[in-house]
Amino acid sequence: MGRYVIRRLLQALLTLFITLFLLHYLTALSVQIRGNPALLFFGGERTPDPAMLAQIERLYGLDNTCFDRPGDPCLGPFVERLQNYAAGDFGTTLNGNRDVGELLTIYIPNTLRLFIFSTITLVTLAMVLGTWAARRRGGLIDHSVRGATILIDSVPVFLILLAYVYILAVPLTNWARDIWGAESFMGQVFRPNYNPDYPWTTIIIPGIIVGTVGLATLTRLVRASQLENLGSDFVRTAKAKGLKTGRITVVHVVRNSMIPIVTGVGYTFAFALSGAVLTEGIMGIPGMGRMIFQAVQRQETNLIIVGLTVTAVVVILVTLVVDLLYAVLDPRIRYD
Amino acid sequence: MRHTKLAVATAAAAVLALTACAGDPGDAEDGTLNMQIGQVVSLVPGGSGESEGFRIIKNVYEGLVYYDAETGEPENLVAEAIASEDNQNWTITLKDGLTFHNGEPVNADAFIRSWNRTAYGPNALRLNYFFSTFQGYEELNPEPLPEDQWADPEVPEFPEIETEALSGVTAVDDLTIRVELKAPFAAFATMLGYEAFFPLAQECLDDLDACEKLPIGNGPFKFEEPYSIENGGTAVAWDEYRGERAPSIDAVKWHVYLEGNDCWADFMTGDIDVCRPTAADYEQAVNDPELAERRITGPDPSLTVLGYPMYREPYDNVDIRRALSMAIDREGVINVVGPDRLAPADGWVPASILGGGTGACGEYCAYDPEGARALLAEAGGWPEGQKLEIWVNDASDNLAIFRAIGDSISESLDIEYELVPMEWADFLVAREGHKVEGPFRSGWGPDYNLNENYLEPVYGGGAAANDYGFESDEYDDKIAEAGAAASLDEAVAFYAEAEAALADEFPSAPLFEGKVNFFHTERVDNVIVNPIYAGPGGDAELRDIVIDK
Repeated sequence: MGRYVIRRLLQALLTLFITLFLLHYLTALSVQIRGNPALLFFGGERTPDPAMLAQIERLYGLDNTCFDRPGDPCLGPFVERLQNYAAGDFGTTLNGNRDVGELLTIYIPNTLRLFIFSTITLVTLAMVLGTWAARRRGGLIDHSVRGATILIDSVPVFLILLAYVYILAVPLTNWARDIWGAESFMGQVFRPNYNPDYPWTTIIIPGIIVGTVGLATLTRLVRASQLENLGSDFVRTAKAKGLKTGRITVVHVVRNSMIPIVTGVGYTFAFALSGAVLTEGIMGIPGMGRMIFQAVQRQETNLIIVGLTVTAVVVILVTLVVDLLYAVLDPRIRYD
Repeated sequence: MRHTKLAVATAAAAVLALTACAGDPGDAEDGTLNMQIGQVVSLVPGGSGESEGFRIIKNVYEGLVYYDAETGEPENLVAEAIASEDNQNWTITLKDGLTFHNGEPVNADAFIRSWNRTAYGPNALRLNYFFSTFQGYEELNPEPLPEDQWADPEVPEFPEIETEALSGVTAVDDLTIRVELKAPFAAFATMLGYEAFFPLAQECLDDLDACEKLPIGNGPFKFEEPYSIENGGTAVAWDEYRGERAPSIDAVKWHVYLEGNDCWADFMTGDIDVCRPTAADYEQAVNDPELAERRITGPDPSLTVLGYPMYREPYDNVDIRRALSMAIDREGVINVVGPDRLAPADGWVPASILGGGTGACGEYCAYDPEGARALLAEAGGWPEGQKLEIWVNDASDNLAIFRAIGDSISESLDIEYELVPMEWADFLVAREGHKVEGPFRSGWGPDYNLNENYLEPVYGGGAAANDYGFESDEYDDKIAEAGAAASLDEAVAFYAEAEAALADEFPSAPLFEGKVNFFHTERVDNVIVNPIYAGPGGDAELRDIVIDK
């Protein structure tokens, strides 16, 4: 197990290095082809003085002439960048001269909160509905569950979000405040926009909405794997031994059905970032998704590279945890 | 069945756990105004240069003059007097006894240290260019050394800067500043209410990072907790304020709406006090009888033009440029985005600006398809087989507006057109680098209340420097004459003549001026909007607004 983890971590380091280089190369290419992002510093309406522009380019490390040659990998700036990162310096943004490291400390917790609520929603709903459908296989409930989850999943998440923000949120908030008052939990939870004074309360609804993404897939996974285990030899043996239904379900059915589900949740986590771009954008949450999206639009080289590297690290770590969980969940899997 | 129960119990437990998070403090306190704001760039004078930062800075700091919201005229605030005999050497005297929030005196040094910081090239501050009219600017902003003197052939180098002070600014005594400009500028006092000229405390300069978060100002509002760019902050009325424009409200809380978000839904739940509806909510807001009496309308001096790449055929022909302008049905286009949101423009300086509203564009801004066709024919007709490309940055409803403009031109002149939508960053680079291949969108909002601000920063600097490739001796002469004028009135008249010279060359077709359309909640009153400095998403003068308790 220990050797396996070390091997995986080394692989992860290599992946990270390649990711970093690719990101650096692509952003360098973008500067070479799209032109000089230093202009953004001046807000765009005014033609800056050439001497000032040169100062800005120097300040942001864009003055290297390799940025004028399309296709040049700009290895000098890459090494410099790696050294800075290693020293804990993530650079600053062009627009507003913000420290990128500091921005991450604002954005990451918001996205994590969003993911906590979306994961809870997704797993709870999928487990309940999947188990229910598996128990009633072929019946009305089974069909209804499968139909309903597919219906929910096939409505794009931004549509649910927009419908919520523009149609439901205002009347719901006003109604709740008339009854419970503006400062109560209920008076805040339905608000159409995220509010930093209520960082947990106002992120619940967006979290629940993001949690519906991939609901059909996960529910079906739960249902299918439980069905498979319900008919397996070890469950029959357990029944024959006279074990109680509760114990059979928890220890033999649910635990053994968890493998595909854990895999599914792991993947959803990686995909949830794309859902986060929309959700954070529509509900005004300062999170990683919208940060990366806007960084790409604004050619904020530093933000793009650091932001995507953070998500790469998260994906690598989650995959590792999922792989390790296999061994915990299924006694037949051993890594050494 | 038992599992369903278990799951329900788990879900119930989760809800209970979440309910426990709801004990955060409230935000609808009685004397606190809830104001929307966008992303702020900087809270130290000289670094912001956009509407949102200035909205905070002008209330937390206090400048030499304050702009009257009604007339736009500068009125002395920290300044006792601003005087000059030749419009080139100015003497500014300050009121005695004023201090910063930390007790430091607001004296000549406080202004000079701020100006030197902004003017110093290596600080790379956004409002640096405001000092380019000052004597000594060049010494603080040298051109890069010639390429053969660089140690690394890939990295440009700059000459050593020997001084950190503008030679044109001196403190005569503790309360008197003398300013020497490079050339006469009669409207100098008009600029002084802008953030670039605000004072700076020594403690702020010593620790700028701390000062960005917790500004040390001299204005009527004071931050007690650090301001966060993403999460906003609250500024309370400063009880030791001794200036002349004190607010009546106890505090203002700024709620941040990041790019792409707006306050309207929060306004409808009463969480924001002043807000502008977006295009999508506009219709409903205007027709809501309950909101009608809480609506504030007025002119907004932001100007949108259709710029011409004068460096490219056929746009190097002035008649073609005029014909395209005459072919646009401005009223019709405004109806596409909703009436009342925009007003047709007939000149390069809006009427709400000092010296504006001259109607310099005249007949060429009036919709006249027949006249346009005649003018086009006179200019030799539209080049055979060429499509009219209209370059637009793809943001808010730009595409809808410029599609309507394209349709209008296409219908009037019978030429095919095509929109070229671009990302903001790419669009900027193309415009600056003269890579645009057709008429392009361009917008401008004023920094201060003077017609000059719509001319020189946009069309000045020569053909290579501005986005249009515009250059005219007559225009340059008028600008120079205006600078040397004896009084502000005379200068304004000369700038208006410069605008007329611009009209002769027609580097762009004026399209629309903005209109302010804000709504406020029932609990506030005396909502005054300064059209020049209002934030786009909704704003009011914080020193005038009243909260009915």
